Amino acid sequence: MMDVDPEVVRACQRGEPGALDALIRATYADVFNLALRLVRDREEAADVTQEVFVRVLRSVSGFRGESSFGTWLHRVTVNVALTSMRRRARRPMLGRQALGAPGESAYDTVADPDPGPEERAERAELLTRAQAAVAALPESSRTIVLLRDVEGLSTAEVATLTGLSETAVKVRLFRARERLRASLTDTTVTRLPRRARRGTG
Amino acid sequence: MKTRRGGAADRQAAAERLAAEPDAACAAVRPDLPGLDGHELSTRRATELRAHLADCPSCAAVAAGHRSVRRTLAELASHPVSPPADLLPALLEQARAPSPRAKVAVYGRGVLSGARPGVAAASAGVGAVAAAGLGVLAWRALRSRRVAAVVEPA
Repeated sequence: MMDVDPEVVRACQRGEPGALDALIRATYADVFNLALRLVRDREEAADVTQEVFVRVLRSVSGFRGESSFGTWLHRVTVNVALTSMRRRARRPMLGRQALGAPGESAYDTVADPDPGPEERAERAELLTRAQAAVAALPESSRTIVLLRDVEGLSTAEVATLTGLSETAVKVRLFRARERLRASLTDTTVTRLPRRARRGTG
Repeated sequence: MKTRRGGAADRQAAAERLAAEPDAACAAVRPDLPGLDGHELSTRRATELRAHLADCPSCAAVAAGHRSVRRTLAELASHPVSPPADLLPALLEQARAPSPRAKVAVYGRGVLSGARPGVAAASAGVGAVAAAGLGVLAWRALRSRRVAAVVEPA
């Protein structure tokens, strides 16, 4: 979830000079990253970020604080990103610079001061593999995994955002997780015999 | 009728199933293993699965794999990438230049609520002058038609 200082939000609502700038500076990178994880395209993520802040500018004065501003901003971002993805699904993909394309890693410059360089490189490689494995999922499952396991939303929230039932969310989630586990872990000792696998559907 | 059993009884039953038909017992739990650590299963189902895992190293390895993958996925969100350099300036510019709709909304609100009395008075004045002007034009048009009818009778 995004952390937003409530005082900055109140300053925006009072119309204090510079408050909107401060709000944008504090949150735009998180909004962009969340959008990027969902839409997987830097240009589209930038468009989503702009649309999110159009909504923020329109609504911040009326924000009543029933949930935290960060939670609200997170929800708005997910909504705008999902709308963008649905719109994109209806048009051909031309010249998209997809995140997770072969040879491209978003995690090769991860700056973590604690582990040594080797461990850091291994971690970055694992994250890149995870990112690629998530990217390889069908879009409907990918969105659910991202919202539930990466963003940490509840299954009920995921169901609301995607318009699916909670049962449908769980079915897709479990299948996607199994697929990710199979591609990211050593499956040689954990694979079921063919006879038993047939029965699992 | 179903009766609730304790954890020990579940474990015993799971061990018996596993001993009798190991593949079938594993096949029965595998589809639900992805939900074990995400609290997406009922308490009863989670207890059944844990009882099976205690006696089945193969399924325990699968469950450990799921835990590991979930930890990695959670980490994806905590490693941000840099937004494009031109995004922040664009957003700040967007914030400083309100949309035409917002301008209209603010203008209208000030006029109607009286929060901006100067604008309200000016609007009222302009409106009155415009109405008077239209009235004069209409009266003149009407009068010239009447005069024409008197001068050139049919």
